[in-house]
Formats: sequence, structure tokens, C-alpha cells
Amino acid sequence: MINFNNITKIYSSKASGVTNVVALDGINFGVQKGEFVSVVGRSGAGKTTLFRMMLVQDKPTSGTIFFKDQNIFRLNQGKLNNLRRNMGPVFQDYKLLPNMNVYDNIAYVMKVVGASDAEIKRDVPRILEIVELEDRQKNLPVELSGGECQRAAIARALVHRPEVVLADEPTGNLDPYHTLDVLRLLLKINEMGTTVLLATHNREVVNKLKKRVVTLEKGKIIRDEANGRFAL
Amino acid sequence: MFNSLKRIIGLGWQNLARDGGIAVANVFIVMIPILLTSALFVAKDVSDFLIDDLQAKADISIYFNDSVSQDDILKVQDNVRGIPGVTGVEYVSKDEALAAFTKRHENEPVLLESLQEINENPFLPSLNVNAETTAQYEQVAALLAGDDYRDMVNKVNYSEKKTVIENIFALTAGAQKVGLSLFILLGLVSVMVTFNTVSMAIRGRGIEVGIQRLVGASRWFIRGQFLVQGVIFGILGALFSLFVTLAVCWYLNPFLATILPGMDVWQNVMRNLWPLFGVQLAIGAGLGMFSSLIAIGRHLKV
Repeated sequence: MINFNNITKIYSSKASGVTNVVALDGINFGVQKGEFVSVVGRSGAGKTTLFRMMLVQDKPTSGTIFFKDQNIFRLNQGKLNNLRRNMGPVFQDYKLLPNMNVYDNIAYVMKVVGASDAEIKRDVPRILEIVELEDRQKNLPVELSGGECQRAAIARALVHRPEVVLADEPTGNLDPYHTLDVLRLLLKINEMGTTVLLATHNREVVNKLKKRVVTLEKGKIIRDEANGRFAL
Repeated sequence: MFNSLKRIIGLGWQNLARDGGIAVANVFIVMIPILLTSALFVAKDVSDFLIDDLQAKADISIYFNDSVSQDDILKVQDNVRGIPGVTGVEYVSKDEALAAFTKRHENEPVLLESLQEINENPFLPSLNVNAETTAQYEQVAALLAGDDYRDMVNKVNYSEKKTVIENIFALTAGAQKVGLSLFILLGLVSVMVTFNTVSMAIRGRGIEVGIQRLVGASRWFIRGQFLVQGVIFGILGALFSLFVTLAVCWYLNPFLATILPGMDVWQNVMRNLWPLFGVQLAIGAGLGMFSSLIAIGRHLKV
């Protein structure tokens, strides 16, 4: 479903005087439909760069990514929009809109992609039920705990039924209790058929999951194991 | 498609509503060039009225003594018609002069009451003469100064309408030039203010724009809301300007009617309401759209 094909990313900045910083170095791996893959590594290992490329927020210096056999860096704007609609991004800092309640935050992305009012009324309560936030739907993000915020962000990522969820350090700001909560939710989503790519540097998270683990170090894959463990 | 359009307009309106006081100030700034254009629109009406009124007036009016019979006056009419360059000679009897005066001042009861007090028709019969050039005035005057007519004629009024019309044209053209210069200046100010407001909105909605981009919103969905915001400024500016224009015309109408009898600014504006609003709307929406497009091009890279 997703193929990372010899991805290399080298950063250079004339302004800051930084030259030739290798963020990713010849990354090759594939992800099957319905898989749960954890991409692990220390801060600066290249996890976020890889996720940014999947959303075509950044382009590789060389190599490419195929999604369903399509080179994602050669898509026209319309196809790129469709690709992004197939990816549900989840971020460490949630990126919820502070002036909208939970329901509106979730409905917002449906509105943006042109869903009808009837679809919004049908799908938002359904996803709120999955993430168990039905009773918090009228609350603003500031009135929620970190775990609830992240569940709302996951709901937002899922509501337009993407084929892949890209979760970049989703538990980075959470205590152990809420971390477990979010992990359970990601597993539940995966069991429902959605492919999940999780970037994390949290050892406990990875070890609890018992799913495929791709380990990055200094921009290179040093390990790729089914039922892997965090070993750095 | 319809859903997207509805939402683009909704988000544009939300952006504007969230800006609160700045949005209100922006609408007032947009109103200034629109009101200036509206003032020129009304001024054109007034100058057209003045010119029409002057053109309808005779170049020369010859008033005859009360004792002169209608037949004698009609003979004079024939003689004046014979002068080369005279384009028209109209006979106005005492009764017709009274009727015209009464009609012209029908809304001025004091004037009409004082006319009734006199208890007789004070107007003199007259001939209104139109000529091609002022040179013909002298020939008419020479004819009337002759022995045949001297005792019949009470007075002769020469109008300088050509000069006055030329002055009105010059004044109107001058006002339009000044108005156009002011319009360009104030239009630029309004573009700059709207540009800044939309730019601030774009910067302030960074997270929203980022989310829209990540979930696959189309380029024009993201840009459209800010474009709509600018256009709404223009539409609101046009609506408020129309309201202000109507209020000012309604308020000034009685004063103008006193200065320029027969002039009805209110009726003229009401008759041209849709063209006027169309011009206001086109200016407002055009300025708003132009400002937004610059702000989008400069600050919104999608």
C-alpha cells in the first residue's frame, strides 16, 4: 500500500549556515493495508521528516514514496488533495482549533472536504462514540484533559474515513494513564481495518503494542521487526 | 460544489466576524470611495437638471404691455420668425404664464396666497425666442427697438444661458476630475486597509489553514474564504453607502427643491436606485476582491 523507496533527505540552509544535514538516508520499507507499524527512534532520528513527506509537506532530496502505486510527489493538486483525504494526521500537540468545541472541530474537517450536512450529522456522532467522547462534544479543547484532546484529534483524523492514520508522537504530551487510553484507541481503529503508522520514542508504548517496529537511527533504518520491541 | 461554496462563504463571514472592531473600521474605510462616487452620481443628476432647465429656457423673452392684443403679438411673432438664425418663437399668454407659475410653485402656499391677494393676473404676455447664436439677439433687439414696436414692448430679457451652460459643464467636468483623483487616492487607502485586515486574518488563522491543507482542502477552498472576506467588506460598504446616500438625499431634497424649483433629487435617486446600487456594489466588491487577492498572493502559499 505504501512504499518508501530509497528516501534521502538532506537539509541545507544558507540563512543559518547549516549545510548538508542528513535527516533521512536511503529509507526503504513497505507498509501493507491494515498493518500497524511503529516507527521508533530518538529525537532527530527522522521520524517526523518521514511523516511530513507522507503528507507531501516536504519533498525528499532523492527517492520517492508510492501510495497505491502512485508516486505521491508527482501528483497534481487535485490528486494530492485526494491523497491527503486518505491520510488522517494526528499530532503531539493535537492542533485542535481552540475556539471550536469538540463536535465542531471534528465536523470542521468534513466541511472542508465538502461533506454534506447530512453526512456530518451521521458521521460525527459515530466517531465520537468510537473515541468515547459523546459526553464531551460540547466542550472546548481548553476544558479537556490531554488524553481527551488527543482522542478528539484522533476522531478528527478518522472522521472522513482515511485509509491510513499517521500518528506523530500522539502520546508525547500524555501521562501513562492517558497514553494507554490513546494506544487502545489506535489499536481499535487498526482492528477496524485502518492502517496505522505511529511515530514514537516512547519505549513502553512500543513494547506494549507488540506490532511491527521500524527503528530509525541517524536517518537510517537499523531494524525492522514484526512483533518488535523498542531496542535502542 | 454547492456545499463547498456555502462553506467558503460561511468561513469568510466567520473570519470577518472574528475581527470585530477592525472589520467595522474596515467597512467604514471602504464606504468612503463608494460615497464619493455616489456623490458624483447625484451631482451629475443636478447638473443635468440645471442644463436641461436652462436649455428649455428662451434665449430672449419679449414682454408686451397689457394693452397689446393677441393678434398684434402674433404679427410680431411672424416678423421675428423671419429673422435668419431664429430657431423658434413661442407665444405665452397672460393666462399661460400664470398657470406655469402656479404649477412651478405648487408646493409654496405662501407665494400662491400672495398671488391671490393681488386679485389679478400680474403676468404679461410674452414671446420666447430661441436663436442659434448670440449674434441673432441683436437683430431681434434692433427689430423691437423700431418705431413699429417700441410702444408695444414692455421689456426684453436676454439670457446668457450658453455661457452659464458652459460654466456648468466646466464645473461638472472639474468636479469629476477632482472626484476621480480623490476616488483613486481613497480607493488606494481602502485597498491598503483591506489588504492589511485580510493579511492579519490569514496570519491569525495559521492553524486552521494548516489543518485545511492537511486534510486535503482544495487550493481555492483555502483561498476562497479570504477572498470572500474582502468581498464582504465591499458588499457591506456598498449597502451602508446606499443607506447613507438615500438618507442624505432625503434630508437635502426639500432644501434643493427650494433652490432649484422642479428639482427632485429623491425621486431621481429612487428612479436610478438599481444602477446606483450596482455601481456601489461593483466598486465595493471590486476593491475588496482586489485587496484580498493581493493579500492571498503575498501571505497564503498553498
